[in-house]
Amino acid sequence: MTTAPSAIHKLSLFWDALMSRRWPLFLLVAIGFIASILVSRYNLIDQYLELVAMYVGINIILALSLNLVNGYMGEFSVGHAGFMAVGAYGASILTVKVFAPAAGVWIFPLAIIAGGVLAAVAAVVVAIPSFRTRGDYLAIVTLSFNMIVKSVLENVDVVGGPRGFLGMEKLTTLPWTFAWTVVSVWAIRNFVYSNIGRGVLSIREDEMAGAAMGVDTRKVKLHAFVVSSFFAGVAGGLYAHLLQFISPRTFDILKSTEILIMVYLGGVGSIAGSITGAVIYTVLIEALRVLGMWRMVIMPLLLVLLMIYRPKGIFGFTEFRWFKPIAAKKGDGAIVPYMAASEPRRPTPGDELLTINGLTHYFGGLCALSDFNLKLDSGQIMGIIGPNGSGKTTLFNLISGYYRPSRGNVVFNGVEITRLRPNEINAQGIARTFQNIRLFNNLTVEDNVKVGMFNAVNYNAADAMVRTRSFIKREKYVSARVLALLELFALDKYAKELAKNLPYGQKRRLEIVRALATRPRLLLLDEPAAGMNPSETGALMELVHRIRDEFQLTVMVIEHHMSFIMGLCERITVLDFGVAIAGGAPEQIKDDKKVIEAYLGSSGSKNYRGGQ
Amino acid sequence: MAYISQQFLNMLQLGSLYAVIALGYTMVYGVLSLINFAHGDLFMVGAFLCFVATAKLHLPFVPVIVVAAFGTVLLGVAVERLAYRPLREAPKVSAIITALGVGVFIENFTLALSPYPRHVPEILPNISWNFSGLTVSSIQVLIIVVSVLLMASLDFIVRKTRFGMAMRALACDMKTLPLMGVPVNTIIALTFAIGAGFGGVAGTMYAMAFPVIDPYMGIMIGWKAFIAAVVGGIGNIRGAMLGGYILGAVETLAAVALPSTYRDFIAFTLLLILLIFRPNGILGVPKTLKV
Repeated sequence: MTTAPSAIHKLSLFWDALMSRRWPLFLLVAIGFIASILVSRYNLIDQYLELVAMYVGINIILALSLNLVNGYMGEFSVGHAGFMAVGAYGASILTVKVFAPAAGVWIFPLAIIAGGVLAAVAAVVVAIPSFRTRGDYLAIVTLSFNMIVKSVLENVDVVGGPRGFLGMEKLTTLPWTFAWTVVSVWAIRNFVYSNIGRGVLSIREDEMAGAAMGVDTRKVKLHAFVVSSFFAGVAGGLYAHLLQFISPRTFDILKSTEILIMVYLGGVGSIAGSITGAVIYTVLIEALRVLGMWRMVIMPLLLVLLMIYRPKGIFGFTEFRWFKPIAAKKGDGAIVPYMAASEPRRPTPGDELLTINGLTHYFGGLCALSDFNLKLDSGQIMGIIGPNGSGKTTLFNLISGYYRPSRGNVVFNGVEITRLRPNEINAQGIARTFQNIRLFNNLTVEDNVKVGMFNAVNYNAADAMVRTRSFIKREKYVSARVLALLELFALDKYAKELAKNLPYGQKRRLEIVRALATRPRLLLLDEPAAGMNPSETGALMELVHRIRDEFQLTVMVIEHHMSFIMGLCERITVLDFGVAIAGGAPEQIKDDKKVIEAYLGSSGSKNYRGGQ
Repeated sequence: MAYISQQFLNMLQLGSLYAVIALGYTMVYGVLSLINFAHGDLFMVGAFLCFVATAKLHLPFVPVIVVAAFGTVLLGVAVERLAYRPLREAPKVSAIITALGVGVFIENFTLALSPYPRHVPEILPNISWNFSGLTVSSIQVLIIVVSVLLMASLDFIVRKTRFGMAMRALACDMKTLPLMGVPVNTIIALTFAIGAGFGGVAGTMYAMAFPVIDPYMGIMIGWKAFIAAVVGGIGNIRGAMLGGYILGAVETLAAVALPSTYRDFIAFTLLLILLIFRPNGILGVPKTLKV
């Protein structure tokens, strides 16, 4: 019973074939570029339409640039016009003041790049505060930056001060705009789909978990801000040489708001979204010219309505297939089996791996952990138990660098790690999971694990942006290794699934796999069996044993399930009110009077301790 | 000596205005953790209402203040109800961008209605007193006295009344408060109402002191007031007052030493430096990191 495929079906197949290949995109770009040259040379279209087309291009660059910070990284810059201003003035000074007007045509591309570089340098001013603050405070920082740039420009007489800057030749042409737009799309898209791009996404999803997986969040933020500002500066330079007049007021908060609208209209975290947003917005604003001033009233209203009814925008975290990387097929390249035993830098079992001396931590006046000492040998599985609020998680947070201890130190494998940042501690070989699962929810299972391999990559951002051979080689290795790891833990069938869609038990498992991808020597598990039934707990126990042996790990585990702890651990330490009250083999702990007291209260005890 | 006193008086006048506007930012931030970027524009609307009430309706002083305050209160509550309430559960980004959008909307709406700067007629006769070289104008006295009264009453309300208690509790935990029988929406609306009303009164007083007004006037003043709130520790009411006077002092001193075009530059640089070294402001408490 076969029916002839309908025309629509054929068409959709054809479309599918077109979308899943790269060459149609390249062809389209080539045609577009040739068309742009022809159009500008022979005046094929109306001057006004050509102008609008150039605005579209510039706005695409701006929207992409902001989307990198706001959409992909989840920070918010609301003063992007400031970077644009730096680029615009920088490029214009070069073409007007430094070089003779006759040289303009030749110097133009260099001037645009120089403007971008200047804006990228200015981005450091914003990136550094972003190391410490995020959210509202970063919004304030970026807005102040915008204001400061404007204020400085108003006070510099060489560039006309508040009166504005004139004298640029009309150097921005349709082919140049087209070329720069394509370069921006290409570079930003390549940046996003790379190791550092995954770092950027991990910051959006869960900055702390990212750091725990070894992502150097400072480096990533700096990179993202620099790349983003570079392109904002490029757009500024193009804009200045299109309008032939710029003034500090050109780049005020209203301009920043415009860019925000384009990003949130088209869709956050999506290249296709930025392009769509810029096109729709630019065309709309031109079409509404008849409304005069009221056009500027509709614009912000549109933004507010978008935020309320569709905050993700049209595309919102989805991507046009042409912009996505072509998926590695199974058996593509060399799939490296996960050879755990061949890992380098393994300490021999029995060596002392972790030493904690007098570790003490206060929250305000409350002593959460008091004078904690520990010597942990390589290869051991050690349990930490104790009532709620006894300082177990605090201990983990101290070891993994989230808290700075009030006193005491931690030495890991002969290196003092007390004052290191979480990602540095991870790079030393300590990985952890979290009590309340902290996966990167909107990333795929595969990408979650890839973030764990952040430090296994040796190419830099420039390699990623132009896709060098070393990038391609390393990405293949990362993909292969991640697939092998997922297979080992029977998670490979979920590889393309978003982490948030996994069932609970698989989420816990994925968190462990992600931690293993960082190639740790010490694994900290914070209540891995929470919410599991007895059979799941049993399976988990087996899993921990297995990874300890296969990956030659040392494990510290916090758990309330007594059967789990007693069955799994070779040693146990008991915490109560921040003090280690007992330590030793499971049998010893079971009968320890102090431990029983801590859990059940002593007979005749007058204190009700549970609620403290 | 007279010069110094004169500058001190200028500082008090400027600082009072900043402080009163800063309270609007800080109160809203305190209860909703939202930076109400539209607040500076409420101040502008206050000034325009003052213009309408005097130039078009020819009202005397007290009704002018009432019209301006009432009008901005209505606008403030409407903005909360229509733009911010639907986003209370949404991510922070959405709320902040909405606030920016609302601000630009109010500015451009006013601009569409009144494209040219306006001149506010004199409402109260401006009397100047001269104390051995020091000139004190009645408007300066009015601004300082009214501001101090407003701040004192707000401080009393927040610290001593049932509403104030609910507001402070709301700042701590919005989820639990309704379980204690407190009508959260009412408290938030009241908070916006008070903040907006303060902005409106400040706008009126500003228009009396500097009678040329335009739709974008609220941006810079609003931002300065916001800086004041951050300097004092955003969310902290006494901090906002302190911050207002500190910023007033810094700007007055800067105007003495540098050309006036550098005023904005100095204010924002101060903000940036502060954010880097003491992001929680002078009276603010740092948030603890949760893992």
